Amino acid sequence: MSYSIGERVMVDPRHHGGHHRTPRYIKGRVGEVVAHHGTYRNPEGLAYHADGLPKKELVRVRFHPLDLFADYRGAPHDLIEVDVFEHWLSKV
Amino acid sequence: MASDDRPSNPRAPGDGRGVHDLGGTTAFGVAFGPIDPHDHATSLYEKRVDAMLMLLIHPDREIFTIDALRRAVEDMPQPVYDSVSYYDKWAVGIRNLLIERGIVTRAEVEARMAMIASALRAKGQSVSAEALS
Repeated sequence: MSYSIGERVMVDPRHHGGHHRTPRYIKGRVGEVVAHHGTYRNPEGLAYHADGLPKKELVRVRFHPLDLFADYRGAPHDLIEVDVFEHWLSKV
Repeated sequence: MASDDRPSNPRAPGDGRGVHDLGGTTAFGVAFGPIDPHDHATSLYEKRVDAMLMLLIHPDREIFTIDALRRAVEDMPQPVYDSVSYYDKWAVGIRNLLIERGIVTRAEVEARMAMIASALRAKGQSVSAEALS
């Protein structure tokens, strides 16, 4: 699965008991893909001494803070960007 | 998801959040106080722990990965995770992973630490039980 720049994506809300790099505060939230970082071994396997293959695409996703935090009081133009592996994303 | 489940709450047991996953919670303000953004001096101990990790995760040997170190740190019980320093987390994680990978045994680590503790006590320094756990 590959995502285009500007594409709107939702982060999978699922609970994952093992090591993963998807912070809770973006789970279930919608953002916009703003950059491609290339492919990397999957940390969810590497964390347990597996080979982390196949490699997964890592993309940067931009969120508006008010979509993440109900009580956000920062500047209205603030943005939050998080690097997310493709298997945590789906097209909106 | 409903808009009111946006996380502004302190972490709670059973909320599915790892001990490290504090983004957007009030845990920092409530449990730890404000973040100190200032630089601080780096101790020899911190440099050594850092160097040890860089050698262990180096691609030429890759005894384990940075991801495994993160996992080992995240597996710490919350009271320990909350109370020990950044590099103490690394040191505990490195120890546990070296045991996990069969590089050293727990008995070897404990014997060496007991030896160091008795040497320190012989010099009149106090050694906390926590340092030995």
